[in-house]
Amino acid sequence: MKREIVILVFGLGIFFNSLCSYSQEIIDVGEEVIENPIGQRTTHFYDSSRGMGYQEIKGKTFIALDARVPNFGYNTGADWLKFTLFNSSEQVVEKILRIDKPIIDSLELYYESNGVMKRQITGAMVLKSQKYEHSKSNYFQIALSARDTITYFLRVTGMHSKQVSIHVNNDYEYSTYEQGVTLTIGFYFGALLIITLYNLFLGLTVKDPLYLFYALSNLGALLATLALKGFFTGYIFPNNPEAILIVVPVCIISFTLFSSCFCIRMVSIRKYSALTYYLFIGVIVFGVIAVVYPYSMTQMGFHSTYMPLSIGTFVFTIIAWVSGVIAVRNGNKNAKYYLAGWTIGLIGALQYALLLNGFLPLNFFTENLYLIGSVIEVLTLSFGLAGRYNAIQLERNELKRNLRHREGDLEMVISDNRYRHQFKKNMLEKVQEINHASMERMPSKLNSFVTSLKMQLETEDKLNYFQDKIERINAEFEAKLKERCPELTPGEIEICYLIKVNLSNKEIAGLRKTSEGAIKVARHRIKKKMNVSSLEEVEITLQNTEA
Amino acid sequence: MKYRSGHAFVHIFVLLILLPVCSFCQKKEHVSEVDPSTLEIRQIGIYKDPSRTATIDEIHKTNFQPSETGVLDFGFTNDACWLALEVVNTTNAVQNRLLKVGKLLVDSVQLFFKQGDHWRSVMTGVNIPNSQKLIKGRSSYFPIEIEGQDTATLYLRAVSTYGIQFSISILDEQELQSRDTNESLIQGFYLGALLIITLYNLFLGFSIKDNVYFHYAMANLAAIMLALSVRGFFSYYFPDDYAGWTPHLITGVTALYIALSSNFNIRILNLRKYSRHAYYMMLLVAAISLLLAVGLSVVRLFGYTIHNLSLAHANILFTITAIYAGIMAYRNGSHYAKYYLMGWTLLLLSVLLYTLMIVGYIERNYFTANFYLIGSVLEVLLLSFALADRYNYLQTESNTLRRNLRNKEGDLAMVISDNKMRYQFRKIILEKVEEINNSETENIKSQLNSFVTDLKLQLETEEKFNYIEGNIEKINTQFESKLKAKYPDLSSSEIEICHYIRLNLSTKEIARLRGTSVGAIKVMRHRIKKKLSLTDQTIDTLIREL
Repeated sequence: MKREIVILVFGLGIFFNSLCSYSQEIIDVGEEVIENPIGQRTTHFYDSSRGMGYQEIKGKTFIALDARVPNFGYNTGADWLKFTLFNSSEQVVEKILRIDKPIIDSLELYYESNGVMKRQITGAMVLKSQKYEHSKSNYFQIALSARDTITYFLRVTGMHSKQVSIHVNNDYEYSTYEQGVTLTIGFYFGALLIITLYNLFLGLTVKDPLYLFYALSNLGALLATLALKGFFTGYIFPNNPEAILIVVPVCIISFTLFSSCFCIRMVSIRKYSALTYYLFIGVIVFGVIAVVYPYSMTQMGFHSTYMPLSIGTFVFTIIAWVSGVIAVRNGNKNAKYYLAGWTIGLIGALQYALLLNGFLPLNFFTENLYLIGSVIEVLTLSFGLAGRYNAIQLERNELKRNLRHREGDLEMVISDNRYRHQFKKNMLEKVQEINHASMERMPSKLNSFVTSLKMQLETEDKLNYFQDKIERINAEFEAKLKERCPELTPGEIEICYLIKVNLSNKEIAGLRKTSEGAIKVARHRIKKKMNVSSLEEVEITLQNTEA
Repeated sequence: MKYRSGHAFVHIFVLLILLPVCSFCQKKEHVSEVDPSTLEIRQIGIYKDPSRTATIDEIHKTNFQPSETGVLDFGFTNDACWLALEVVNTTNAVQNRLLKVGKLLVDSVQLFFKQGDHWRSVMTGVNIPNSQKLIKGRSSYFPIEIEGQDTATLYLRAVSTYGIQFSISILDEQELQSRDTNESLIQGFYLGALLIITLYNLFLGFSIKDNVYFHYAMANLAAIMLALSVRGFFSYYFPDDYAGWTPHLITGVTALYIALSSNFNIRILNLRKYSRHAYYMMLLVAAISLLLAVGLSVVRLFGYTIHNLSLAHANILFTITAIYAGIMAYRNGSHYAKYYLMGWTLLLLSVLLYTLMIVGYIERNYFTANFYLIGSVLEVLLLSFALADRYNYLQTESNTLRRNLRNKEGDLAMVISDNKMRYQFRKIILEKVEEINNSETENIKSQLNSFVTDLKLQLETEEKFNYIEGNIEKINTQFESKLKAKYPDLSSSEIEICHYIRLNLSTKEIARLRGTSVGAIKVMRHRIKKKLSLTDQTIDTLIREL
């Protein structure tokens, strides 16, 4: 399948070749400014056996390429690139040939100078002592004497994806580029490491393992990026190809591994979609195999590539995104932020995987989008944290309000209880009075006592009804009343309750221990504040302000 | 209710605070690091030229003072500082090397060397456009070439508005590359770390609608600008445009850093409330620095040369004030002062160290020159505790509120049921009174008497209930949860009885309240006693002690 695509690309390349007149053009290093990268001025030959040497290759027919940066994706063979440099000036010109991608296993440059074959070598799997300068990218030193023309053959092999971005630089461009790459690596290192630590600290103090998983996921992204940017090849193990062989893919797989764990935890995917959960597990297993298998094949002396690794990452990004969509559709609150943040980060990872497999051309945008993506993702996920914070704050405020209402209710019921107790005391006095009265007046007194007792019971009946429903009525009724008429005082609101449960002015006065007149005045005030014309209307309005 | 963060962090913090002490144990940064087998620096002398007009021919004839300290530290001075050195090539071959003046911020450095009978000079430095430099790098570099067995006399002339420190070393091309690469990595790391935290806080502040985060982001931004401009980031990446406005940029950024950091400190510590004293000091320092920066820029615009010593002193003043403010606010009970002290003390100490170093009070070594970077990275990390604390605080508060609400609801249900019971009782009274009313006149008196007795008893119980309800806040809320936590196998009716026991009700009264016999209550008391596994202690004392 892969082979067909490569052939198709080459086929298209041949077709476009006829249209591009400058493809075979010689590059003049005598000029001040050279148009970089020089991919369109190189020709290509694919040696699937990897066995051909320089002398054999010289006689082969090379095919012109159309891309500024030839992208061969993953293959087990050797790609040969041929290009010609010419020095139009009258002086010796010394230049540096730069190949951007830092994790190409080995690059060999063959050329003839004064009839003698020369060979230079560089690449991730080449010892530092064999290279020109100990640098982050791959460099060759070239020198052309006055009016000289040299044809160069570049042999590219590697287990990683091969994009050969060739630049012809002078010393200043070289050092500027180097500092720029270093600054980018440093920037990315700083940004992701600090966020990792930040979340680690946060997770430890808030005691929420989710932050720890997020920190791990960030660490995975950091390791993968550093590996891709040549941090390990350039800074950590410049002299240890054996370590590079295993460290780089392990770092890349750590992204898939840790991020899968985080995705599973973050959106509780097991709850929402068991299928996606198992897909995640599948991707993790596949990823581990994709690292172990090519590694052991290479150790046994076979040629192999890490293509399955990038396919694994590719599949992972899609599953991760789908898991976000499923969780959002199932109503997971966290998933909203997750989806927003990850969409950007994952698009970056996705397009990088496509780039590595040769489906996209290499340019500044495709090369760096995943860096930008992961930085934006980190920032967007801060909304997730803020969301949780806001949710808990909202909950606290709601609880506070409820508590206040309940306290009010309790106070009222207790005061009602006191009032009833007082009434009973009065009752006792009355009965004792009756007891002391003369026989003939007793029945009439008892009668009046029974009447007042009945009336009292009627009031209490209404209050009981009200207290039965206190749970339901109070909190919402008060909120609604306040919303409708914010200038009501707490006292007036209480009177509104009592009106609502159908108590008469006299009864309200009894409860509130004031005169009937005072209640009448209060009713009038409420009427005015609520902007209604009659008492009945007040009552109706209050009745309609149903909880 | 205050959430306490773990003690482990306090220990880490104490360890971190001790870090700056290491600076005094560090080895001095030497004037020269040359491989003695090839090149050797023989003699170093210094000379200060207050007039700034002396030419190389005059200088050549003056007597240089031999220097004593390892690093040639001139501090802040408006003088032109001259340095004389002899470089001896001990080999027979020609040696091509780079002479490095190891400070990033020197306005201009001029190297004089003799070629034949003439003095030649090369210039480099922050104020020199990149196109005029022979070697472009992060420090000031000069190429030198010395014949085999030859001795070259070199003179360096430095003029700067910043502290002038010479740390001279001789490197080859490879070392230059690797040093510049390290510097790029450090600057990239610092930029990445602080920028992302700045943006993070900006986003956070925006979404949780809290201004403090915004002020924090601003202070961070100023810190980034300051650290990068001091480390020569701008002069390296924008070399030619930068040369003209570098003096204004660095003074401006320093003042801005002081002002924005003061602003943040005032807000997070709520200084206006917790220490008005520190508040006014902070405002004063910020105002002084801003005025100084404007003043220095204006003086320079008129073409005068003036160094930045006053601004460096303002910075020292600021760090001391900020630490003082933190301590004051902490002592006066500001909630965030703890985190502020944790995060900022280290940063402020590192800034203090650096400023003292450039002013020349303490030595320049690797630690004093770079520690502020570590300080500011640790600061942003340690402040994450403050956020976590706010979160935890809210969570604890929510939990407490939820518990309170549950208790209140329980109380309410109890009071309402009590109310209903009283109502029921009153209905019974009504029936009784009606019964009395309907009975014969001679019986009324005795019946009324027994009725009154009943009523009195009832009132007495209610009195106790009123007492319970009056103290409901104290009684109910915690007692029940404590009881349940300690003895989880108590049934709800047993818990009710415990309540009554606690309120000093007699067995008889409890029986009447619960509508059962005295014997039943006695049995229940026995059961509770068993469940509470009591031997000689009575239930009453235990429950009251709870």
